[in-house]
Amino acid sequence: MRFLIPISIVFILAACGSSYKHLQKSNGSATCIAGLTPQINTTLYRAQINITGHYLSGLLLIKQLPDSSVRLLFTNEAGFKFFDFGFPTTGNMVVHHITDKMNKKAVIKTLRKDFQLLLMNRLSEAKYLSKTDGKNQYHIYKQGKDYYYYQTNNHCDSLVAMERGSKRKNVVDIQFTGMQKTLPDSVYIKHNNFAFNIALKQINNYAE
Amino acid sequence: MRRLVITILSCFLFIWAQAQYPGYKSVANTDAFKKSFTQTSQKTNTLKSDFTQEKTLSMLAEKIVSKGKFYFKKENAIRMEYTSPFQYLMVINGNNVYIKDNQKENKMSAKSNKLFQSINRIMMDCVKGTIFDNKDFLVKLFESGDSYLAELTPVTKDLKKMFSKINMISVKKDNLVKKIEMHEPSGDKTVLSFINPELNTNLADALFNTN
Repeated sequence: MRFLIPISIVFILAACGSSYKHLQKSNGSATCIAGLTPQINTTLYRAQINITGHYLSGLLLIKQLPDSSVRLLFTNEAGFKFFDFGFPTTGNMVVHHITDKMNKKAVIKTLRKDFQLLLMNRLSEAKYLSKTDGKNQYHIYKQGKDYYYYQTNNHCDSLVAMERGSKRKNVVDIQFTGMQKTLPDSVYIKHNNFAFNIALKQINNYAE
Repeated sequence: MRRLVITILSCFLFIWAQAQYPGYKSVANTDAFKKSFTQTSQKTNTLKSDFTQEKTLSMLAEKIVSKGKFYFKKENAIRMEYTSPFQYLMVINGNNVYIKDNQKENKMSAKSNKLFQSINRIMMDCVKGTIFDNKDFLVKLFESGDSYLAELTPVTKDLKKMFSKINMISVKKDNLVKKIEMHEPSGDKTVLSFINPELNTNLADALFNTN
């Protein structure tokens, strides 16, 4: 029992530790990220979404429309629609459709921020700053209370990681493979503060 | 005068039905169809078929085509095995649902999930010929030279959210369903086409295992 208080303090201090304290200001440029932003060709993913113990699987279609806005539609395998979101080039995400079960403010907000991070949407509207850990450049975009972190190598020829969080704490990580100025082949979006994750794997030859 | 009005109205109805479904005309008396469809369904103990599912997204001008195998066994068992361009298995046996995708197996009760309840009911009604008894839909019948088209318009609030209508198209000569078109209020639709159907072949119970 006498060890309980010190141990608790250690855990609390560890939890309060900043994920980004080690970063130093750098002279990176927003043009670096502009050059790495994916061109959105129509892409279909096999999708698995875990929302606090509720598991959904299906197909996620991402398509850029002629007005440059992006539509993102998630159906189950049999074709029943779960949600249909629109990301205009400026302004807020539009919910075109969402099932009653998913129609919760917190769920919509979380999905909006996750996909905004992946699509690198509306970065031009955000405040930009750059930092470095010595090895990689951190291109940081502040939107409201949220910070969107894009890590590149120092030559700025490849994107290493995508994260979202506050000034201090990392909240969401996106791991990806095969992102060559296009949407990635595979994506794993992981929330670090609660059980919410999204796994995507690209499907080819879906429109015979 | 009354006869003239009725004749003109009938002509309008005929033209409207033709315009709605080219090649089809409205069938006023559905008894003959119901009887023959139900008789065939009663003789159907098992059904095995390939299927193609075409999801049309009207606003996005996109089509997603998937393929697989469909199995039905009396009384209430369905297995849909998607094989291309992804692997996915859905088995509905009575009130039990079993789902398997690449990563995960999932078991649930169809009663607890409105979506599976609806899929289950629609599929069963179409295969078993009980669609005309389903109080959740208003049914209109149309015919062409070789097929019948049953137009099902949902009447319940929940189903109306999911579908604006469902069309079930069956072949006249054998009463087998060849197509189910599920139209959504947004204008999107999902069309299931059944290809190479085989009736009353031996299908192992294990295919419909949900445990």
